[in-house]
Formats: sequence, C-alpha cells, structure tokens
Amino acid sequence: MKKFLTYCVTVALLAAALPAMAFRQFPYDIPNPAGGWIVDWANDGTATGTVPNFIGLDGLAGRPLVPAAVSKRLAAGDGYSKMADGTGLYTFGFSDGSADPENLFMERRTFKAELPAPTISYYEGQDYYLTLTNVGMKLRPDLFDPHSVHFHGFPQAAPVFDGEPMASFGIRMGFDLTYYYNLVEPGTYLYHCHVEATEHMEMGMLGNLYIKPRQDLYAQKNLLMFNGFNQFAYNDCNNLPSYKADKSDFEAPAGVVGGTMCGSTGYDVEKAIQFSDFDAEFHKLHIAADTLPFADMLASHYMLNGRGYPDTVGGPVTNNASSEVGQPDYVSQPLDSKITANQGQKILLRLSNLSIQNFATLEFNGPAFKVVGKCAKLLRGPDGKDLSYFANSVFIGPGETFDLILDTTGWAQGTYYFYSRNLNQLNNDQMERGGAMTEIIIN
Amino acid sequence: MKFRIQPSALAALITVCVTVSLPLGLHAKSYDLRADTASITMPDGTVVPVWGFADITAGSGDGIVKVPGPALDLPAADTNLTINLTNKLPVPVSIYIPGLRLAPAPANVGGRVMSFTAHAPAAPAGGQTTASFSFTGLKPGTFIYQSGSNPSAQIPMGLYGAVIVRPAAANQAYNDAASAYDNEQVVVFSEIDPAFNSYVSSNKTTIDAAHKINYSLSYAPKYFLINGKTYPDTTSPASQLVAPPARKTLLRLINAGSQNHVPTIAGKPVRIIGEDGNFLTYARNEHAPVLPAGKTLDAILDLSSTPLTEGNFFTMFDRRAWRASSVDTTGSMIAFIKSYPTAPDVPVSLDCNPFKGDMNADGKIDIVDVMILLNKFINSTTDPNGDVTPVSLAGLPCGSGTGVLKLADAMYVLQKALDIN
Amino acid sequence: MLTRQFIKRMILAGALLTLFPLAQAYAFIDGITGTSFQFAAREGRLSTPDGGNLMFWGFADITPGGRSTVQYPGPTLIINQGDTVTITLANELNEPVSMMFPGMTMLSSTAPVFSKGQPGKITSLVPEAAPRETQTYRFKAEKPGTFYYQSASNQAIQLRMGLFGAIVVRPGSLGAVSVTIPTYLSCPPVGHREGSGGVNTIISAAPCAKNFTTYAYGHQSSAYDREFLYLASEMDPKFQRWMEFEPDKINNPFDFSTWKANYWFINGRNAPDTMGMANAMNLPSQPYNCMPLFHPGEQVLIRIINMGQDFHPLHTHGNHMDVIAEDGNLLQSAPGSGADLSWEAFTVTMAPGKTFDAIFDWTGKGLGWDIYENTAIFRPYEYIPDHLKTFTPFTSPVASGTTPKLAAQGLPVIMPGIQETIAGPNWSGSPFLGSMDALPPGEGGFNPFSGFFYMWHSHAERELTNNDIFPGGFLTMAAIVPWPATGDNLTIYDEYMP
Repeated sequence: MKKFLTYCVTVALLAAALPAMAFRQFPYDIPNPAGGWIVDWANDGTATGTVPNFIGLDGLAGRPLVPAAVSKRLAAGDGYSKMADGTGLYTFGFSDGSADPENLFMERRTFKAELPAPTISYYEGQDYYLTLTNVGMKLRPDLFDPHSVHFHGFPQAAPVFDGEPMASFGIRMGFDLTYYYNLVEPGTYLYHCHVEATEHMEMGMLGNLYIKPRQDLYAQKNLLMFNGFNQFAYNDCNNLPSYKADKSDFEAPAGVVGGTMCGSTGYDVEKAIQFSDFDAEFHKLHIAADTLPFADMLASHYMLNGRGYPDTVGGPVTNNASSEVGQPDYVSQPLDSKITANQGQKILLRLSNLSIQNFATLEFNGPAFKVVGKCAKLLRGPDGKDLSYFANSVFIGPGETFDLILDTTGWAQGTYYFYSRNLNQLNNDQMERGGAMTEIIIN
Repeated sequence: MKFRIQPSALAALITVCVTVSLPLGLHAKSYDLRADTASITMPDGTVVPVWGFADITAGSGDGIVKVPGPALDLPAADTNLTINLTNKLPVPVSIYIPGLRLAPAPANVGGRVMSFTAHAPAAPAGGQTTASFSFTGLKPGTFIYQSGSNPSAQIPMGLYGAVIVRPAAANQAYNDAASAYDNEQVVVFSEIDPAFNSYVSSNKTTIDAAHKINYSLSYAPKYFLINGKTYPDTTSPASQLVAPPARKTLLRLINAGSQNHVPTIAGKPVRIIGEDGNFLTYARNEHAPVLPAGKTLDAILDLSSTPLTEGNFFTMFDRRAWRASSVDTTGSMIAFIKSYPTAPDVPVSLDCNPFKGDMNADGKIDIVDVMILLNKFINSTTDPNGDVTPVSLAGLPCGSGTGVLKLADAMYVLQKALDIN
Repeated sequence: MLTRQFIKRMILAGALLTLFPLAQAYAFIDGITGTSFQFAAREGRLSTPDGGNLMFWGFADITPGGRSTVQYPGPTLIINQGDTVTITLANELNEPVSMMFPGMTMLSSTAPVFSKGQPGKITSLVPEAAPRETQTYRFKAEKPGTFYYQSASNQAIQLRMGLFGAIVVRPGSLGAVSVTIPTYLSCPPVGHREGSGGVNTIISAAPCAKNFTTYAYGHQSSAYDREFLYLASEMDPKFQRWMEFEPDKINNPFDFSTWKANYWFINGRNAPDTMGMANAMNLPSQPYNCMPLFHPGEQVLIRIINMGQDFHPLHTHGNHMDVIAEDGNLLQSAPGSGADLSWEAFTVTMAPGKTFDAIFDWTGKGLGWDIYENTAIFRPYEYIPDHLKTFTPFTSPVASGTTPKLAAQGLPVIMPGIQETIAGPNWSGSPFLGSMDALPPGEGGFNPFSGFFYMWHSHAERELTNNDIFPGGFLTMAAIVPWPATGDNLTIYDEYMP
C-alpha cells in the first residue's frame, strides 16, 4: 500500500507540474529537435533510435531489422466515410498520428477517423507501446465520450490494458493513455473501441490486428526455408527455439527444427480482411444528434475492410466531407481487399468479423482452401493432431477470426471471387452487385 | 456390420470396371440444362414465380424446370463435367460450383462483375442463348451448382442444384472407408420470400428505386424448403426421406439458401464426415450441425445398432424454428425420415407410419376410421393402412407389411381415436 | 451515461458484491437432482432490467419439495451417468406440450404426434401432454456432458416462449487425478479445496502437482475446479405481447419473418440482472444468475447452451477458452483418448440447439509485468518470469533533447491521472491484482476484493442492449478473485466463493 501512495503522489505531482499528462510513452523514443518524437520504428530498418536491440536479426542485406520494442500513437475521434454507392456517413474511428509532432497532433488528427482503423501488425516477442489520444468528436461537440482500445482475443490480458470500460477505464477528450502489450502469442486478432461498444463499434471504431510468428524471424535470420517458405501464419515447426532473454537472438534449438507439419502455414501473399456493416440510418441519426435506435438496427452497407464492392478492389477512397459536412476531404478508407498472386503461390487470408449484428458465410468460388487457424490459434490439438481442414466457406461470427491458406497450384489464371454467401450481404444499400465481395486475381 | 452390395451398386461397380479398361482413362459427363421460368405452388395456395433449371440432356433429361434443379450425379472415375446451358431467362445466366475447377472468365461492366464466369447472355423475347461450362479435376464429394450471375438475385429465384461426385469405391462418399454407407439421401435446404420472387421475376433486379427498396437487403423468407417442398407437403410419402434401421444412411446436406440453418433430427445425432466436398480427418458427432448458406455437409445417420425389427419415423427440422405465421406450421422447414426395414432386408419387413390408421384419409383418426377398419376385418379385406400392430418400440404403428387385419389393429386405432397416447 | 444506469440497476437488483448474504448464490450451477421429477408447463411473467415485464411459458418443478414456481429457463436437471430418469409432465397450457431430450437414450415412445387438433398436421415431434393432461418420459443418461431439454411441440412459438432447460450429466468417479503444474508457475495452495483446510502454504519450488476430483466427462482432460452455465435465449417483445394480448390469433397471426430479438438472456436474465443474486426476491421466476468467480490458475468449466433461434458469438475477455466438447461429445479421436481434438477460442459461435463445454483459466502468464506489483512472495500460480519485474518509464520532454525518467515502478507505462479517465464500476483503481487505488468520485465500488474483472458477452454488440437501452442483454462479468498472501487463511475469500 505504501508503494501505491508513493505512486499516487508521483502521479499527482506530475499532473500538477504538467498542464496535461498528454504524451506518447515509449521508453526508447528520442525527442525530435524539430518537435515531437523520432517516428515509429519501421520494419525496413531505416529508422534510427535508441531501441536496445533487434530481435534475432543482424541487419544483413535483405534481412529486415526488427526492433525489440515498437510504438504507435493512435488518435480516436470522428470522421466521415464514403460508401460504395456514394453515400457519405458520419463515423467514429482511429487514425495513426505516430509521425505527428506534439504541437500539431490535435490539429492534424481531428476529424480524421479511418475505416477500418489503421492496421496493427507486429512480430511475436516485440514490446508494444500503444498511445491512444482522444481528439474528441468535432461534429458532435455535445458529446464527451471517452475512448479505448481493446485488443480483442489477446490471451492472458489484464484489465488495465484491456480497454473494457466496466473493468477498467476509457480516456477522456484531450488526454492520452498508453497501453503496453507483450506480444507473446502470434495470430490473427482484431481491435476496437470498447466504450459504449454498441454505439462506438457501429460507428466504425474497428481494425485489423495480427501478430506474425517468430518462426518468420528464425527462418529469415538463418536463411532457412521450411516447406519452401520463410514466412508463416503460425509457429508450426517442432523444436522452434525461443528468444534469448534480451531478445538479441534465438536460443539454440533443442532438436531439429522441422517435423511433418513444419512450414504447413507458409505463404507468399498475405491479406487481412475484416467484415463489417453499417446501418446508414443509425449514422444519419447520429450526426443529427438524434436518439440512437439499437432495437431497429438493420445493416444497409456490407463491407470488407471498410468498403463495399467494387470499392473493395479499387484505390484509396476519399470522402466527400467538404461538400457534405463542411470539413476537409481526406482518405477515409485507405485499405483495399484485392488480392493478387501468381499461379502456384500460397495466399494467407486473415479473416475477421467486426459486425455488431451479422454473421457472414465468406465463400470462395474456386477450389477449396485450407483453414489453418481460428481465434489466433493454429488448428492443432493439445497433443499435436492436425485439426486443419479444407472448405469453400467459413461461417464467421462477430468477434471471430480465421486464417485460410489458398494454394493456387494448378489453378487456371484469372479473377476469382471471395464474398459473403449470405446473399443479402452483397449490397450497398440501393445498389446490387456490391457489398461484402472482393477479387482474387491469379496471374 | 456386414457390408452388402446392393444391385444398383453392383451395376455401378461393373460400369467402373468397364470404363477404367477403356484406353483414354479420362471421362467426362455432359449435362444439358435449360434455365427457364416456372412457378411453384405453396401448400397455402400461394403461387410463386421462380427461375429454375431443367435437364434437357438427350435421352435422359425430362425437360421439366425444377427447384432445386436436377441433381447432377457423376459416375465414379469421371474427371470432368461439362454443362451446356440454354438460357431462356431475360437475364444473363452462368453456372459455377464452389470447390470444382472452372477457368474464370468473369463478365465485367463498369468495373463490377456481372457473372463470375462467361455467361449465356440475356435471352431475347421468345428466344434463347447458350453457354458451356467445363469443370475439370473432379474430386469426390457433395457440391452445389448455382448461378454466378448476380447471385443475390438469381440464387434465391431458384437457380441451384446438387452435384454429387462419386469415388471409385461403391457406397462410399469419399476415398476413405470411414465414409462408407448403405443408403444415401440428398437433402437440399432453401427458402422463398414471395415478395422477392415476384419483384425480381418482373423487374430482373432486386432494386425498386421508386420505393427505395432493395429486395435482397430486406430478404424475409416466408417458406422454408427441403428438397423444394415446405411443410406440410414434405409429409407426403414421395417427399419422405428414407433411413432404414440397421443401416448407415449418408445425408448429403446442402444449403442453397441465403440464410443459415441448423438441420436437426429429433433425438438422433449425426456424424459429420465431409464439408464442402472435403473429407474430414476427424469426424464430428453433432445434434445440431450448423449449415451456413452455400455450404454442404456429409452427415452419417448411423442406425447400424438399431434392430431390424424396429420402426421409426424421425423428424428433421431447422432448429432455428422459423416459419411463416404463428398460427400454422405451413411453410416450416420440417421433413420426415421413415426408418423401417426395406429391401434388401426383406423378409424382415415392417410398414410403419404415424399416419396409419387414418382409413378414410381425411387427415385425422376418429371413430369413423375404427368402424371402417372393423368392417374390413370382418370381411377379411386386407389393408396395409389398417395393419397397425405390432407397435414398435418407438411407439409407431408398424404392421407386418402384408395388410392382413387383426382385431388388435382395431383396438389400437380406437385408442388413437380416443386420444390415448 | 455508460455506467450510471448499470450501477443503478445493480443496486436495484440487490447485486451488491459487497454484501453476499448467501455465499452459495454465486460460483456454481444451481439445479435439481434425482431420478424422478414432476414438471408442469405453465404461464409466468419475467422482468427485464429496463422495467419491462413479459409473459413467458416455462416449466415448473412440482416434485414434492421442489421450487414449484414456473421459471425461465426451466429447472436445470443435474443427474448422474447411468441414471434412468422419469419425468411426468403436467400441461397447464392451452395447447399440447412435449419434452425432447437430445443426447439421452429414450426408454419411452418417440413417435411423432399427428392429427390432433389440426387435421393432417404434426403437433409434436414426440408424444405430448394434451392441455390439462400429463405425459411421462423416461430416458437413460448413458453419456456424461452438457445437454438440454425442450418442448418438441409447436416449436416456433413454444421455444420463443421459454419451454426449455439445461441438463448436466455427471460422469462416474475417476477418483483424484494428479496434474503437474508447469514449472514457470508457482505452486498451488495446499489445503484449499482438497479438504484439509487450515493455513495456506505456498511454496515456490517446482515441480508440484494438483489434484482434481471433478470432471465434465470421464477423462482427466475434462477436469475442473468450478463450473458455470451460459444458457442463451432471446425474446422479441412484439411477439411476447402478441401472445399475451392478441385476442384473435387466427385472423391476426404474428408474421415470424418480422420477428427480431430485442432482449437477450443468459440463464434467463438480462444484464445487469445476470450478475445479481441467485434466487433474488425481485426475480421470482428467474432464479438463475451468471457471474463466474474464480481464482488465478483455477480450471473453470463453462457449459454453453443456446436455446434461442439466433447465433450468438460468446466472447471471453481475459483469455481463450479450450473447447473440449460439442453437443455432449468429448472432442476425442478415439474413446479414452481424452480431449485430443479440443480447440481454443476467444469467441465461440453458440448455434441454436447446440451445446459446448469449454475450460477457461487465467494466470497472467506472459503479461511482461508483475501483476502483484513486486511483492516479495509468490502467489499461487504466479508466472515466475514476470515476478519482481520493474520498469523505468519516462515523461514527456520539458525541454528539447531531454527525456526525464521516473523512479522504477511495477507497470511499464505511467497511468493517466484519474481526472483524465472515466472508470467503470469493476475497476479497483489499481492495475495490480489484489490492490486498490484512488478512484474518481462516484466511480468504481463493485470490486470489494480488488479482483480482475472480465466481460464475457455476446460479441454481436447489438445484443448488449435491453429493448433499445445500452448496456444490458447478453453480458456478464467474470471475476478473478486474488489468492491471499502467504499466511492468510483462504477461508476469508470463501465468503465470496464456496
């Protein structure tokens, strides 16, 4: 208890000393003389900083440097999106402000919500510092909603960094909150704001989140290929060594790194695809500061990565905020869902569903795919039995994730389709031949 | 249990032996299908316009437009399937089969796909167009063929059907002995929203721009079909499914609808051995298998430990318990599985049916039926419908199948007429 | 707005965790035991946290000595593997009712009933009790596991009205089975739940073992310390009102294509009533609650049943579940192999008519910081590599080129000040397990043991409402109650957890 008092006093003193405790926390950051901070570590090894070491890799040509600690700063606030039928909808969401100087952060990040939220993807073993800044809702000045980040599905979570506001807290407007995650389990997760979840999630505070396995780094550092691959959905080899305590390298393996399933989740091309939907009426009532209807919700726009077909296969979507709500236009939906691969390559699809009311049966119209992972776990029984299976569709519920491998060996070249077989989901409101559908192009 | 080769299976085996001795080794079955309009009448008298497929293959097709379309049953060792489509619909139509290989040649307009593969264009009034689809590298399993042109309009209209690809071994679903069965049933689930069908059949689109309605988005089915029939039409003997006791029945469960169903057999679990035409390494024992839209499951209803003398009448229903209105079961997704010995288990033959005893076929058992039965008994007239004893362990009226009436039959029917369970 | 209503309702529901007048009201599955039961099907009323009140049809246990009131869901039957069970159903409703027991070996007739009431129509999938009559069902529980019973008559109406309940079949005894604790965890307490009582002794030396005596299935892979029920159902108030008030149902039928759930229940209650006391006086026909309480490292069995019509994605905050059984079948590759086909999930799709058994546990393994904040002793099941970890965080620069450092602390980052956050009712004020800290005025307060709370809920967030009011519905909080420090008598925590 004494420690706590000390802690409280420290915090209280700091709070008194600094007008606002608003700052991004990353122990290895160095301040930028021009203001703010040296930007987030890029995985291409080009950034400089004081991160103590790099996971497993030596930085030789072609082998990326992976820092042992990484950070990001997300802004949470409102924004505007453009649906595939041209409808503009008011949204809540996140945007990445890691590169913004402190003094320009609010100015640059207000009314910049993206759909989906910026993808968070790192390696197993990295220390991750995620600062969340609540920039407020510019078009709803009557609201004082806090926000949070919930890393959905992260195993062994503690409430303090879980973002679930019943058991912890959300951050108020104008303040920051830094989450810390030890990224120990690779897999496909998802993240969203958990504050007033029904409303904030319908408004679009949803994003892709996945952690790549350390087997990638082991293979790349040692110039090894497993089953012909050096990147994988999961750690699928036997005897894969763990990191040394300081993460500077791997321990020596206890036996031959291999096994019959070794490399079975290897891939050439990777894509994260998140299913979601909007009820346009809800969004229109929201911006009108009207009563929000939960009981009568009915989705009108079905999406993959925040866009309906055919926008799913197009370039970045810029909203019409200037003409519709008098705010500057910006790229509101930067992520496409188009997948391109060469014949014979393997494609890893990281699927998630963040609808707040609809299950989806996501189907592929070509040959069967292999389901290798579910809920961020390799489909393997407790004693190692291979539980992966082949199918042409997965039934995916809100808050679920699947990992699929499409082996294109022997496929005819051309354009294939990946879409919801719940056929009412192939619509952008009053526009048919749209909705939750994308293309997979085999060259 | 002992494995018996049924005559039909034997014939199939002989066919296999003959065909594999041919020099080419590759075989392709070809179907000629016609996409056309039709209408189907629901049990409440509602007439619903549909689009369906007819088998017009020379020599084997009957040319009748059906929903679901004719099942494409491919002989063992076939490696290719060709479907020649004649389109008489006013919209472009194409065919694809998830899981089977077809060279993609999508038709795009304005950056949006019109058909997943090359289509037969919209037919001019009174005319027709054609297209051909070649699927290669067939693998054993249960699949769905369906329209790949504006699927959210055309599949609910009825353009779908079952595809069965057989392995070399007879009476197996896959090339694995664990998929062996004695009896097989194809069960296709789908739904009908009459408002949707009416609009699409006259407007060729799901969009009613004038009234801001998207009939696909607001799809609200009122009839839930199993093999194209909804309750109570599914009670008719022709629509009943069959799963004899002491046998393993393979149920090829196919959801061609847009909604997700949970086909459940009252009191009987099934073993799921295949999904989307892929054999599962580890079968799953389930009471309530999830059958999402567009998916196929191969389920074994294993009655091999049920005695041959046992008669049963199982109900298969969607556990989601949908139906059209609250005062009538009409439109519900309910089917019946009759389970009593049939060939080749003769002479252990039973004829069980919960409808038995309704001598005048007026849909209810009352004192009139008792009188008719007694009259027939006295006059030594045989009547399988009145031959209701013995009663099986499951409680069903099971006659010996000969139709010879006994006094006990009349007593049983009297008991029913008096509403004694 | 978020939590205010919730707190209010918790108070109204008498759900104060600080009170716990009956320890037995939490942390176990309530139900009835025996082999012979008398049930009645009758009408009742249930209440919803938004002040609503709906008519339902349910089962009542009218066995002499039973609860005798109609309840939603029906009484949970807790029986033993091998039992032959007889249930006599007395139908007090105005239409035929029946009972179906998927997974049980029926010893009474299973013949469907046609031609009663409506000519040519099926009335029940199995023999029925006509209005004001009785029907007797007999079955043998040959397999252990999680099952249910439901009406097999007029399901579209009767399932929506509530004629269903859970069945738990307990396996024969396996005796105590010892399970080795991984060496990265500290050892479990001695003398708790193994019957010897007394002062807790915690040793940090590995290896050590733990004995289990309770199993969901006849194999040690299904061992558990505590069990909880998650039985899901839904209601559309429009339909319930039509059932209650429409005088001419034939001419004004309810169109089921418009049926849309707006109340979601766990064990017959909507949040926050889910977390209220079992057998609460103000919820006479909803006796079952749902609020898992357990200690770090304990194996928690979650019995999952969906008696509704919709699919529900059950998401457990805190950790994955290990799904070990489906529809009452242990996920095993061969008899006796144990749950070698089990899979892990952070979200399980609850399908209508389906059951799952899942095992959840939580130790905080691999968090990267010490959840007990640097205390010198080990707590049971503590993750040893994180023990005594400290961090030196920094603050924002007061001048260019400087990074002021703070004194070492237990958390890798500095928490925001309490004036910068809005905290929930289950927040202790401290990030550390078993500790509390300052809270904003009027916030927190529903965490008397400074535990870690986790929302276990439907991830279809529309279902977190009660007829248009957020929050509510398919939501409950699971709580990890800390083990006490060395020397404390564990029984002080048994006040919360029998």
